Amino acid sequence: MSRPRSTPARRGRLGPGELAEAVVLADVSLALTVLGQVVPLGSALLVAAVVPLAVVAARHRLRAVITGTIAASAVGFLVIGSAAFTSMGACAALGALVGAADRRNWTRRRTMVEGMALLWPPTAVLADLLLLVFANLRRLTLDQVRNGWNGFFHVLRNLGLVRVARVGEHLLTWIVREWWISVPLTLFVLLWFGIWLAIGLSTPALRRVRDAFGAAVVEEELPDTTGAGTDAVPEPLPVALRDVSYRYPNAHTDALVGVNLEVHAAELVAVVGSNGSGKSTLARLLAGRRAPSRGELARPGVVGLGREGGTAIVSQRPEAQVLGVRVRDDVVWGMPDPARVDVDAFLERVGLRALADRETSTLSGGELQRLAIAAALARAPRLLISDESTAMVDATGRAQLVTLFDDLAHRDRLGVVHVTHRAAEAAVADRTITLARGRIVDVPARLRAEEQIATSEHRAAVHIGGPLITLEGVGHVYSRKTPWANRALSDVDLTIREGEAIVVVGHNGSGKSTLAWILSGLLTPSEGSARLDGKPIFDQVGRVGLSFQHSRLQLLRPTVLDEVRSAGGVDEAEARVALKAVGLDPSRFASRRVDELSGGQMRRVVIAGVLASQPRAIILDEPFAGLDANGRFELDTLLTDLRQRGELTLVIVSHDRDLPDGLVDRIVELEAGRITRDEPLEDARPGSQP
Amino acid sequence: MSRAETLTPTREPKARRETELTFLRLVPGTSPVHRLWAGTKLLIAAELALMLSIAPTWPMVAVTAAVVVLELLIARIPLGAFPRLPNWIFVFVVVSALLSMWSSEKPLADVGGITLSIGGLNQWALFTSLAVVLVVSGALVGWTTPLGDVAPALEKLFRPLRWLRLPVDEWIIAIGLAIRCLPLLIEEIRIVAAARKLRADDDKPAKETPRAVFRQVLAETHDLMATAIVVSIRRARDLADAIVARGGLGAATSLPGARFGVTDALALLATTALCVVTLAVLHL
Repeated sequence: MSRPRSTPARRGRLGPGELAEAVVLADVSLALTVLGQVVPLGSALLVAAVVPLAVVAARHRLRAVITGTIAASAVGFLVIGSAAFTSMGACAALGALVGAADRRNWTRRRTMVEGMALLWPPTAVLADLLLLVFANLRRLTLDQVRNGWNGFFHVLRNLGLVRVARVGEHLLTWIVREWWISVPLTLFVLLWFGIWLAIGLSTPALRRVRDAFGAAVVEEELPDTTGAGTDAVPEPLPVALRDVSYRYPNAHTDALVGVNLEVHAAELVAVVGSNGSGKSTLARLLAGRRAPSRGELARPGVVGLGREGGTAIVSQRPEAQVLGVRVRDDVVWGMPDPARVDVDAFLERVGLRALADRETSTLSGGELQRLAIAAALARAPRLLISDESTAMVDATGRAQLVTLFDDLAHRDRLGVVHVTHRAAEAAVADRTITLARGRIVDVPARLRAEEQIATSEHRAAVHIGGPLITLEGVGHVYSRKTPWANRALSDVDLTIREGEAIVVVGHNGSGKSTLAWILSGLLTPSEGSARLDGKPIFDQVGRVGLSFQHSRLQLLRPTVLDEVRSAGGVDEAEARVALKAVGLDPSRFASRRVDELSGGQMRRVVIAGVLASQPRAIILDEPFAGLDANGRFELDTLLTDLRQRGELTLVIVSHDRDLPDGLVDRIVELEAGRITRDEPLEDARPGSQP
Repeated sequence: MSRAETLTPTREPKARRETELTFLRLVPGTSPVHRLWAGTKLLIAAELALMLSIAPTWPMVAVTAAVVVLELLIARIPLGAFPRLPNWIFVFVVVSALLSMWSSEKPLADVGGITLSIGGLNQWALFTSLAVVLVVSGALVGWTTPLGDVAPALEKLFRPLRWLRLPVDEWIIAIGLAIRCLPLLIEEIRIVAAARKLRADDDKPAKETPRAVFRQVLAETHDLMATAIVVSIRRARDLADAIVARGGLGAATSLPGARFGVTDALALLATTALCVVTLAVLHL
């Protein structure tokens, strides 16, 4: 693994990519540091906190490490006080060393030696200087150290270890008296040990990061058409694509093939297609983030992404595009003269006026998307691109967004391009473009056919047994007895029988995720009892499997087969069986790296791991979110299949009511933490009722 | 947590005492302290920390503690706002107190035939209360300040650093983003930890030698770290996309908000005067 790794050559201000990575990873480091202060054996976490900064140093300039560290220290000051400066500073120094050493391919020995030579002298001098200046604090601290150890030696003396105690006391006296030597000496040992541990912990993480993202980090080079950094007047519309094809660097096939398209002001164009059809690539081309590989893309002026009169884009993951801490701040984030902007008017336009002073972290997915649109509108764009902005939002939120797009196109005369995998959302559009395999196809026939398959499948009866999970009077309050106490569930009675499949539906904040955590035993309810086979679930964590919405967080091993083996606690043969069961061919997927998988494939690998552990029941949190018709169909077939093969108990948690027909027998509806509906689904397959 | 631990039988599911981190959350309500400019509160916290570092003595601890308690009372911070710390911290504190009591720091006292060091206990108490005052004074800023106000306030406080040609704008933007991302990242770390707990392969090394256990723990840490970092880098890419979509990193600007006012001047002046007088009395 000794490929040459270059030093990032950029100079000057950090670019968005560098800054974002530095901040996020420094934040991870801070989170580990804070946990290190309150968790037993936390000092292990303190060393682990070096790793994220080592990753920054390996991938970026020193400037990124410094900026990230400053940001995390400032935030950390509010959490653990001035201790944040020293611990973040130490992490940054060690991280910068290990990261730089990794980039230069240094051996462990060289890193140790150069590290000590570089870091120890300044640290020692700085420590002595600080101790000299804050003499009183030094005395108090040293006295405290001396007293503590003195007491310890006193205990040793009483135990009869007189000689050990005497030597210890002499040493202690010397250490306290000659602090200006003993403190640097202690630092020497600590630093040596710190570097040694940092290398050991960081090297594997750095390798995994390289495997996942490649060695070199390039700031995305924007084509000139964006007009970034110039005074060119944005004029994105009308835009015309003639015979445009696009191929990603290092890809073997074109993502877009011979696309012809025009977008004018005051029209709403829907772009429909399944995952991998090239619709997001088209959005990127329209936004000027990519230039066509072949063909012609013509506009009167520059795209002006994020600039006044230019182009705005709203993307798929709601929480990912919010930059401000408060709703109000987010609208004007990055604008040259925020005081001039009528923030309230823009929020009013998207129906969020009442939330102007809320913190963005408290908003639902749909609200966040509307906030992103408000931020876009504040820049008076001529072209608005929605890149799957409705994919992760519930039905109400979707309807609101589509109405808003319609309104913006026809009342405010914007050009709006709405990219979606739901053909139904194209109803209000002036024109619908359907993409399949990178080409524009005539009718959305293929999609419709797929949607129909999902409903016409014949299903056999499933046997339903006795009660498996019982919840009695379950309630949960987060942050109990604090000013932030927040009731998530109250008075929930629920019995899930063996072999049953239920769906729990509810809006954001209805308590359905809390319920999933309680059902899997991860959370102990603050009221009532939650039992599996008659015993508390939280004593049997792992017997109820859980697949989180964000599958990547659950894949802890580098390759697919390793992951399934480790998650299921099984040998290779069983892991292969589990992979086959979720429709992933072991001969193709076993040695694939998890980071190469698509979202749908990741979810399948998670389910394979859960299945392999032979759980009593499986909970799937939002399993269909972000999947297109095809992906939904495949997952539905898989789950139905699994139910018919064994006595699989299934709980699906979803904000979406439109689940595939016949997948579940029962629906439970949550509203504000209470069950408001619990009944069998009418169109459940025959014979599935007990 | 190993599987053996999680499977210990308990009769009734009783809610365990949760460790609760209550930092960086605004205590609802309003008060003169809430209304102070964020920069003032940061300056006061920094001032108290500096004073305690210069003169870590009982009078100074008393004065700074008084300032902090006064702020807590005015801001009406309920006791419930204080973080619930895990038990082992208290065990650690008690053990260190006991050890200090057995030291030879004078004065010594004879209690029932055992010589106890009052001096050691005194110093331990001073050291511990100093640490508590420092932490609470920092936490107070978080409890009474909307997080969105922190970065703009720091922008004003850091302004002199611009003269040194330091990239203050970049830092302020980074601090704002760091505040914004921290809750998301903590949530992600929480899910990674939960996912780890749900898995079948809890640390079960083939041989139970210390070396095997150490290797197992190390491998486990590697996997968890790698997952957390890969996920974070993906989040960072989304973040970078969002920044590009807003036209790139502009200047560190913010909406006009709370400013340094009369109350701020008074609060800052009063704290400074108090500290300086205490310092003068102590050292003259």
